[in-house]
Amino acid sequence: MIRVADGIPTGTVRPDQLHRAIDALLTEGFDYLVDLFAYDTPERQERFDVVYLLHRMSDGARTRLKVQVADGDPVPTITDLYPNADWYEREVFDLYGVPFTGHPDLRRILLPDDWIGHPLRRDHPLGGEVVDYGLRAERRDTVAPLVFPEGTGR
Amino acid sequence: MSTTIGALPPHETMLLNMGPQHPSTHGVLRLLLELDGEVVVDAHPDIGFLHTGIEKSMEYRTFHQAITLTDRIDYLSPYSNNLAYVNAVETLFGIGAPPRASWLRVLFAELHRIGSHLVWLGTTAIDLAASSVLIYTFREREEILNLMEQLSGVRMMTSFIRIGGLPADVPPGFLEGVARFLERMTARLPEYDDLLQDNPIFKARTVGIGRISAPDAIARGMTGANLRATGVPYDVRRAMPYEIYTELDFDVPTETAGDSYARYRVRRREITESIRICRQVLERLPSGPIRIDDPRVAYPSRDKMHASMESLIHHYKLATEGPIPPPGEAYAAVESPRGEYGVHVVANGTNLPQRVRVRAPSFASLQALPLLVRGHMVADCVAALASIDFVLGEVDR
Repeated sequence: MIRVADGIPTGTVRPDQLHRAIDALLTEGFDYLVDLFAYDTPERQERFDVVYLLHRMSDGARTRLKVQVADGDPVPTITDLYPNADWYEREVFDLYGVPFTGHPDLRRILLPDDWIGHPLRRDHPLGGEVVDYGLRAERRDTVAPLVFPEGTGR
Repeated sequence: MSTTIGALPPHETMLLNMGPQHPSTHGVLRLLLELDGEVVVDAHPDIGFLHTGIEKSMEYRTFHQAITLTDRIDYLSPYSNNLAYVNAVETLFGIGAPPRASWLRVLFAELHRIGSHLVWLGTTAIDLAASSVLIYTFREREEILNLMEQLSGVRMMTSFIRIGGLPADVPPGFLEGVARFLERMTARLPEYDDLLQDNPIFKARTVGIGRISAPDAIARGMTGANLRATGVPYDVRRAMPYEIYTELDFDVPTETAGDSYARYRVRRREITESIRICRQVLERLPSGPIRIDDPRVAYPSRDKMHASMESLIHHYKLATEGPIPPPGEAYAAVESPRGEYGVHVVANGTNLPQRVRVRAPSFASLQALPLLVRGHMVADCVAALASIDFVLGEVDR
């Protein structure tokens, strides 16, 4: 379990419990979805942590929920509870490839539609993308995985 | 960035493509307007044209190097970005800046807030065809940029912050320069009011335009002046105080109308409040060190380095490897000129962050744009768009 340094109460739920858990928090008055994002730990089988940060306007309380999923496993959408989850879930889908079941309009949001890959995954190389600005550009995927110099972290 | 659009209702409307190259989209925003005559039925913002992968790039920089990338996210108020990121990393370390550094950080952040609101005021007025306001606001913003240049050698992307404090104390004459600027700024604010506050054309273009209710704004994650214009007094400086904001005396201006004019009034009064905060910092600035004396993040003093081999090695390790926070994750938020700007850092025990997530206030505000413009004319769409004060660098990152 990763250490939470900022003192915000943090819990982890299974994907099938997520929607009910968030619904319960909304009923408790957590009316503002501050942030929804993901991060990747490729060493783990359930490599993606999708993080939900909620805020209650009446007293300023905050709480954080996490759900851990493997590559390709879906996460239920919460767009029916928080309308602003729409773009956040699209962003996670775009940059990590985590699918959200029940999302009304799950498309890429930041990258072009024909982009291949999900660049914020840890094993996606930085740089080396061949970008052709021509009108009849074809996608080429000849990018070798990036090898880090020794001692510079992962 | 998308070549397709979402599900559209099947009635007879026209699609108008506005942007990405359009002067009133404040950058490269593409807006698909669904029109019935000249009335906007719906709007579909299409973002991503300025996506530069800053969050990805930060995973390949040491915790110190990544500071320079945060400047580029919201380029109108770089100091808020610096502050949120550094606060998150400091939370991971469990440290804070010494008092003098903390007060100075607040001073720089508030100066940038004034500068950012001035840019917003000038460009918004230009969108409404009042081109003279920009000349006034940029005159004052220039003084802020000159002060920043005096401080750090750079006008905009100052990065004048370090984990655990500041890189250096302020140069001689800087605080006097700030005091002179605040005098001039206070004297010139009535000029802005003369230009806009009761200007009938300005009011006709903004009153009742782009209205949003408080529950809608909260549900859409709007923060900052956009939320306060609906009557919700949510300000990160009050809700989750950081640095020394608890010791300062300032008001959080709110309005209740929730329209473009209310957002203008909130930002206009925030300039006054920021001037008040800057004055208090100048009056009460404590003396003392500007960088925490913690070997994990701070270099040893020059004297020590000249006398001890261990200090030299320490300096070398810190300069090449960078500071290594203990594994964990932390979120830190600041009140940027656009709202709650938060940074979530995940550290895995190496010298590079595993993930830096930026919670950009403009991203949330822009998502609410369709609510603001439905039922208005196309020209009012421009006014509503300008009034939510978004920065595309922050939306797309």
